[in-house]
Amino acid sequence: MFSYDLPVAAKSLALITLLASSVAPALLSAHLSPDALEAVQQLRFNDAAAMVATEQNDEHRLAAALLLLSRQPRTRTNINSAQAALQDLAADPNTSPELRPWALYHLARILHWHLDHTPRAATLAAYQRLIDRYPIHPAAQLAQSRRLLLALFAPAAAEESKARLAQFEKEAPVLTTRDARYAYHYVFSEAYQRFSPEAPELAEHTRRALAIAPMTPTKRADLLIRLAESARARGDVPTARTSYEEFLQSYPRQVRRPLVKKRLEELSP
Amino acid sequence: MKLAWRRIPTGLLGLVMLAALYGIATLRITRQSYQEHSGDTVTIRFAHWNLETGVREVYDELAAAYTDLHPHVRVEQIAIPSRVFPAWLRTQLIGGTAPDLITLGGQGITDELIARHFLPLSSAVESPNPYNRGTPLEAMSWRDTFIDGLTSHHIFNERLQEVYSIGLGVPTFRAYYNLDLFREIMGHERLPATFGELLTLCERTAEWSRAQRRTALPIAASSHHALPLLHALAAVRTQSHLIDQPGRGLLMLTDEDLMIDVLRGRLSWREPPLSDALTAMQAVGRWFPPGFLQAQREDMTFQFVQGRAVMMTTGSFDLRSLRTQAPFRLAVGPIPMPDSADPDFSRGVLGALPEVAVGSGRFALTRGSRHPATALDFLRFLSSVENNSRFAASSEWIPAVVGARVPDAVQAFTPNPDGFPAPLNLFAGLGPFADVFRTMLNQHSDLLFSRTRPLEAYLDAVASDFTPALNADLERMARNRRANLRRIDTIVGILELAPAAEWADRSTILRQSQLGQEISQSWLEYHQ
Repeated sequence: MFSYDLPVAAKSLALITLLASSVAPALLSAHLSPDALEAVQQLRFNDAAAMVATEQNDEHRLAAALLLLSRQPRTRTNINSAQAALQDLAADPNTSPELRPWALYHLARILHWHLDHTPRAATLAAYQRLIDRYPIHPAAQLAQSRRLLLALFAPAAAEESKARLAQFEKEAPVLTTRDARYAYHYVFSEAYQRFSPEAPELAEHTRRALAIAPMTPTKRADLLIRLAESARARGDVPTARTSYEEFLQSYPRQVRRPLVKKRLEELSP
Repeated sequence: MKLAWRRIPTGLLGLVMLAALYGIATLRITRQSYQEHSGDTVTIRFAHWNLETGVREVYDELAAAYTDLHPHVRVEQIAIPSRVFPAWLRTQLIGGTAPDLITLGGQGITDELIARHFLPLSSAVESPNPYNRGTPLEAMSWRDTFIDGLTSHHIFNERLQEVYSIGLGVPTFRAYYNLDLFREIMGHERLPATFGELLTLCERTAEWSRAQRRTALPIAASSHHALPLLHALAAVRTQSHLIDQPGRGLLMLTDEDLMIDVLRGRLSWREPPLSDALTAMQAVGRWFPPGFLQAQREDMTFQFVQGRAVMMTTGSFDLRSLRTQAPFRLAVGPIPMPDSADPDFSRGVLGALPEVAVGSGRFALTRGSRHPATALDFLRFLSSVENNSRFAASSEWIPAVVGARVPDAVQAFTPNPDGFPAPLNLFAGLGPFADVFRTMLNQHSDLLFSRTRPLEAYLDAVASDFTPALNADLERMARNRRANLRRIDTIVGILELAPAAEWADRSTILRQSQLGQEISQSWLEYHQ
């Protein structure tokens, strides 16, 4: 193939071109097609499944497994097949290190929401496995909030629910992604509101969730009001007033405005 | 000559006529198709079910006005009767022949159908509406120009987390009075201004009817008429629960929150605020005609128009037809509700309820539209403050856009956007708590609305059926929510794999919504 008469640079260029031409097709088809993503967005899971079946790389295998969970009709066989596919992905040493944690995450999700009557301990263990193995991966960081949710909302007496809050406050999970940080603080905010609304940690977690900037239309409004209400209950009038006023300024059409105005009137000296 | 054409065989004459008609039809279709597909002309079609007087006419006017501004755009209106609209809608969508804009509503509109066939508008509504230039709404996002901020449940799909339609009207409910009969009974024409005066009117009407031996219903009501009123009566007496109880710390509670508190024993139908809700419903409902929940809307309207009822409550959408049909003087006024000054029914009341639900004239943009940008622009045009005023003037609908003029004829229906919300929506109609609703209203309404039996008799009758009904509703809610969570799991799981930044925001929004639903589900399962 190579002539000793060709300059070295030309030989190198030829070699690089040869290598690139063999790798490029794999790179080009590594990602899910825009059509498949659109189909998923439109809840056309069966159509999307047919589209992703054309490729066998890790991303497509993961997508195919997830689509098995939602394609119609929903059957136990499909769920079992999805589990098997995800387990293969997780166990395969050739699986991309980026995607293997996602396979573990979704295996935990199957136990959490896709199967009925899964023992809570089994789901907790599945999330914990992911967190132990890949603590800084985004999937593991999301798993932190789900593990927290499972633990804090497990049926228990009121006092035990309160005690769990204190127990999990002592943990220091790795949370670097925006989604994971928001989810973690939001779960704590919701749990404190229900189990220990007088605790100062309610305001702290609510404030942190707010600072991370929730994107759903009403979520920021909700958190502003919760911050205001918890401040009001604690007697922290300045914080309550600031939060109520921010709500009124930010949400000109929110149906809760008259209630917020009433709260502000009550706070006035 | 006369004899000559008589010799032409009638069969041949028929064939010639048929051929001529076929030719005309072909020519029209060809011309229309040419116009649609002509490179120079863009044709936008919009479909709806509002055949009421004034609506189709103003849609045509606005379509023509749009063409005046954009000469290369033709806008065609398609009006389909409401009875066949749902079937027509599905056929058009599945057949790929749907118009660019369609009223979204009716039976059988599932999330799958919406997600598959309609374009989300959430991004589009964050920018200002250019057709509001030169008005106070100029700098406002398109979203905030609507009286509900596009948050009404008909407009924003909570499960898909998207705005899918834009609405043009706000239906509001008022009391309509037969003023002639009113004067005969009451001796004056001062409409009831308080809840107490409303109840007095009902009592006097019943007495008068007995004394005169004439049929005179205090309130003509079918389920269509009664449910909004019963809902409002129940809701207004639970308002203070939003500020008295910490709940979720959101100054907001759902029926699910309330029912879980009933399940936990923290709320009871025998104690305020829920007992207060029932007593208000009972105070008015006992004056409804027997069997009202099974009565047809048209029957009760007929009773009223025939002069056999002194009042009825219904929406602004009935004003024009009642005005046309009623042979008596028709008066319209607010529905007198319990307020904080009422001597018997003030507990729990903070003030009037808000009227912000945009529900009429909702248009969604179909994915199959060949000109989505133009169709969206037409939607902006329709919902500018000027054009929404124009639409309201002709249709006599209440406009949905902030600052749009409410026509003089329907000033009485001007919505109150600043009312105090209420937590209890159970009696608004069938929702997630269908079994509870049926138990409390359908099965035992004779006791609830009895003029002789106390509320306790009703509560005793309901007691044995209520808990199984509540559990059935909660289990169904849990199942449906789990199904939605699973679906979102697949979507966000796959969007996570998408390389393009355009999916990142969408993925975050869905994840945050999903988390909220997981928490609600976990809280529900915590109590089951």
